[in-house]
Amino acid sequence: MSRDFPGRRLYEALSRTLDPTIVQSVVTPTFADLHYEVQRAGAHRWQRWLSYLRCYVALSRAFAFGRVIPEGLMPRLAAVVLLGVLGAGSMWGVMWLDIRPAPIQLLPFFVMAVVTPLVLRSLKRGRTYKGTFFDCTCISLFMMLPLVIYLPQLGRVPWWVALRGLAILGACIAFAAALIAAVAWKPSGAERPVYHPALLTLLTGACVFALAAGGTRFWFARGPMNILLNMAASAYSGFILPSWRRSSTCPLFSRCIGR
Amino acid sequence: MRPAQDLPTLPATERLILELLVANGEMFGLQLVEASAGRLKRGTVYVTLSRMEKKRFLDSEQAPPVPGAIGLPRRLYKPTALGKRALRAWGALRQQLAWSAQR
Repeated sequence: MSRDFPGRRLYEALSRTLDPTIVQSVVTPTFADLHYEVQRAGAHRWQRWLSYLRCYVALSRAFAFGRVIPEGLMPRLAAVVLLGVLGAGSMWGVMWLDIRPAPIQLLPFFVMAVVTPLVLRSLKRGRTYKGTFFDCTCISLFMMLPLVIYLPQLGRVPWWVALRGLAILGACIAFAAALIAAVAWKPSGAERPVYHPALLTLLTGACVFALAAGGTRFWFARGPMNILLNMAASAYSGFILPSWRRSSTCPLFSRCIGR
Repeated sequence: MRPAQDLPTLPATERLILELLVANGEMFGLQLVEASAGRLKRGTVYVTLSRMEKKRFLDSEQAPPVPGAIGLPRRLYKPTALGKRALRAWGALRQQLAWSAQR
């Protein structure tokens, strides 16, 4: 086997990320076909490009319809993308409609704070603390996109203010994702704490709503920074209560308090 | 009567692959796609072949290296005795069902 071959980078990337049996049974033969066709195409450039195209289409079909991605990961990916798009869409809708009352500005985040742990809990596989943290971060970053696009268009906000707001938001997203992960992550067996997850999540959402809507409306002026601060404050404050209750089982908090 | 849970199934795509392999002997995945006249797709043929290997209907091995060939070696697929028997059993069942329907 020659060291350098067509599609080598993609092949190596897939080999590193996918299960070895899938690489051996699906990815390697698909690339072997590509190499065979590229060699057969010879100097015909368009035929070579057609071979590449066929290979990439074949791989896409295998991923989409062939259940190449391990079970558990596909529903998780779909859920993260769906929740992220839903959250970003609702954020965009609130900003585009220019809805002023702070509680309604907060509504998308409130809804997502309630929906995300419930959806992540409903997926039976792939539920680790790190996995849930990663999912929550991805969803939050999706939700940040409308803000990143929308904020520079506002001439009134200096760039350093927007940047500072986004930095705070980014930090809060990481923190909130860790906290949401602590809520949504379900340890197995005897370690599992006894409480009703849906009730606790609703309680958390209500705390988010009350604290952020009341606090930020009182302290800060209206405008896009208000949205940022609303989100940051709600992310920061809303998940402390359930995480504190879960501190005996959550690795993040058990490390913090030395259990 | 409950059907046996561990009996391997033989869907239409797998049947077609077995028919092609029994008729032609050893074949590459790409050859199977070309011989199927559009019934097998390049994207999913290897997933199906992999599934059939797990069911032990097929066996595969790396093709002998061709001098001057670039890249990864291709895999040759051939039916196992179990695969041939499954195909024969399916053919017999189909004949019997057709015969019963005509009566």
